[in-house]
Amino acid sequence: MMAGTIGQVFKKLGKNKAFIPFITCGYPTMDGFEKLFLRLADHGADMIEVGLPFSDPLADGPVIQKTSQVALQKGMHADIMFESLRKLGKITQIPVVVMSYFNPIYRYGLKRFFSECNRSGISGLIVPDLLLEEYMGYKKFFEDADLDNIMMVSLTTGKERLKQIGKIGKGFVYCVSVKGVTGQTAHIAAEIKDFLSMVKKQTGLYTALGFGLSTVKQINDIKEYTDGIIIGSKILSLIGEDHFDQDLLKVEDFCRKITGCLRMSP
Amino acid sequence: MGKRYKTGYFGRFGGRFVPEVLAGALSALDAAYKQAKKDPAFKQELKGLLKTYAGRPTPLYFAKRLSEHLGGAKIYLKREDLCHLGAHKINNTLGQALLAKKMGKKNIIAETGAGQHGVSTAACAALFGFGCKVFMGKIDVARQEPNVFRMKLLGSEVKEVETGSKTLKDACNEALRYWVANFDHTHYIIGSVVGPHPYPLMVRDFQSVIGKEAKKQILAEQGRLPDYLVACVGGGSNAMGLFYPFLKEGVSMVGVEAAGKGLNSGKHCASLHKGAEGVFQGSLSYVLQDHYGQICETHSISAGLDYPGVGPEHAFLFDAKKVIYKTATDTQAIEAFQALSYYEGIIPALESSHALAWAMDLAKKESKRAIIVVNLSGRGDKDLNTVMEMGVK
Ligand SMILES: Cc1ncc(COP(=O)(O)O)c(C=O)c1O
Repeated sequence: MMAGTIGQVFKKLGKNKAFIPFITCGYPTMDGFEKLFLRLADHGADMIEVGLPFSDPLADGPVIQKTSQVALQKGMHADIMFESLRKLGKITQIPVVVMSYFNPIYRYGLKRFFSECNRSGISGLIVPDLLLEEYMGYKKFFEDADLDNIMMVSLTTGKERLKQIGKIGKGFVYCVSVKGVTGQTAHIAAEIKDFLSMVKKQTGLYTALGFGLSTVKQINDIKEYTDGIIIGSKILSLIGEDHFDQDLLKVEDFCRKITGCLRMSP
Repeated sequence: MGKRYKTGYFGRFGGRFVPEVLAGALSALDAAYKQAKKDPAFKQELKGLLKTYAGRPTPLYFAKRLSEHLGGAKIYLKREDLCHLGAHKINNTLGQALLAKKMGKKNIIAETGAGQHGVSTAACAALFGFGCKVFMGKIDVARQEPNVFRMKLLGSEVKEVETGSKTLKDACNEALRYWVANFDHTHYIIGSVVGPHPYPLMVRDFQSVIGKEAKKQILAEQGRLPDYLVACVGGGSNAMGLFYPFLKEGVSMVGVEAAGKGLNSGKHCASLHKGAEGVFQGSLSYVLQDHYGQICETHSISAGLDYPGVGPEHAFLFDAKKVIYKTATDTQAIEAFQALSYYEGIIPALESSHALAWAMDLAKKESKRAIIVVNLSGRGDKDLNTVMEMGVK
């Protein structure tokens, strides 16, 4: 059973906060992706968000646009991702959530995509361009699939909508920290604290905050209001195509800093 | 699927596939548009601007020499090329700019391919005193240079887009990304009947003035409706604008997609002919994509048609067979471009030349009694460089 795995991760963490790195499948190479994945699993990640690259990633800033493009140029696609995740699942038990824009899923066929997710041990799915209203049209597929449907909310999502999202979301709610795309920001709005509390109250789900997070200071500032932190662009920006082994060390170092501040002392 | 979830759909096409952060902005836009549609003052103001600023109504012109040369049907041209700024785009930008003003926005943004929509948006920014940024792919900046200069002259910033294929679709992505971060004070004027609901419907409504006028004009001139309407289809706004008021009239309607270097060359942008159902830039429609749902790069000699998607209402009309869709290649478009210039003294936009190319073929086969109305969506001044580079003398 894959659905529910995510909830257990949060539950086990207790007062500690989940560290959820995001990486693009197939970046910088297929082999590099797998090494990076394992390194993150070994250095404090509580689950890993894997992005299936898309040619036109509307919600993403320059870093993830680039990693997606590189991965696609190297021939990345859904079947390769599934195969890779099956392989990684034999080496580590870390839960995986997949992030994919809707078109690659639609094109693959929802039913087939979900059953491949199950076969590959994927615990949850995030579809950044599938609004609540559109989700309702495909609800049956999501409900039949044995994985958690992770919905995104933003500062502009009102109370009523949060309640509805709470009813259909599972695992955690992905709280977008900025009005903007991934990877941009130096400062997180002060209103985010109230927002996180409201999301928690209205949805009754665990929350994880993502988009634009990159520094220990930012994280120390907001960590008590959320159950987890998602970091993507910052980690991917540490990885180039040329000095991969050295770059991995930088990632390790970054992970140590982040996990250091996410483990709350009692 | 409950009916409740089907707002913003044309049959099974359309919808609103965007990041959650835009859900509120699109609902607000939808509400503002619904209200404006019922507001006599809004309609009056728009009508006034269409008349005194855009120069409407545009003439319906009988292309007598061209028709005689072809020896068949009568070709009438709906002269959108005579609109202010040289294309039908202004019908939509004026409408949306007025709406932006009503919503209290301070800035507008737009994507552009050929530059015509960008220029129209820039002009509206000047007219209403908005700040304006126009996103344009690097390749289009190069091939539509005069329009880049026009936009700057009109006081707009032109944001050159270097991501992806560096053409219209990427400009649209960048505009959407910018909007995600700035919608509080900024309205995004999408230039065609594409994107998330309510854009396809709203842009079609604003462009319908084309068909409404054409209907009156042909009735006045010929005492009957035409046998055919022909328009080019990029995103599909000039075509929807012409067709929509005729949809229930039993007139044959033909949308012409760009076949580029040929439908089997892989270098075209015929989304309805060669695409598959998919979700792209906010709506479900036909999209040129690969086996795994990655969006394809496209080609057309005309920058305004060089787009891998098509408006969801066209997808619906295509599936329902209410409109027929055909194609014209780069070469056929150039021939039509030359023919209209030569026989009528009218230089058409390369986009419109696609519609004309197909209509000219049709005219040859049809009887002298038949009437074809072609939407001459724009003028060709912007394309002179492209055509010269093709070695046309
Ligand atoms: C003159 C002209 N015609 C047609 C088009 C294609 O757009 P649509 O299919 O929305 O009418 C453009 C787009 O730039 C244009 O400039």
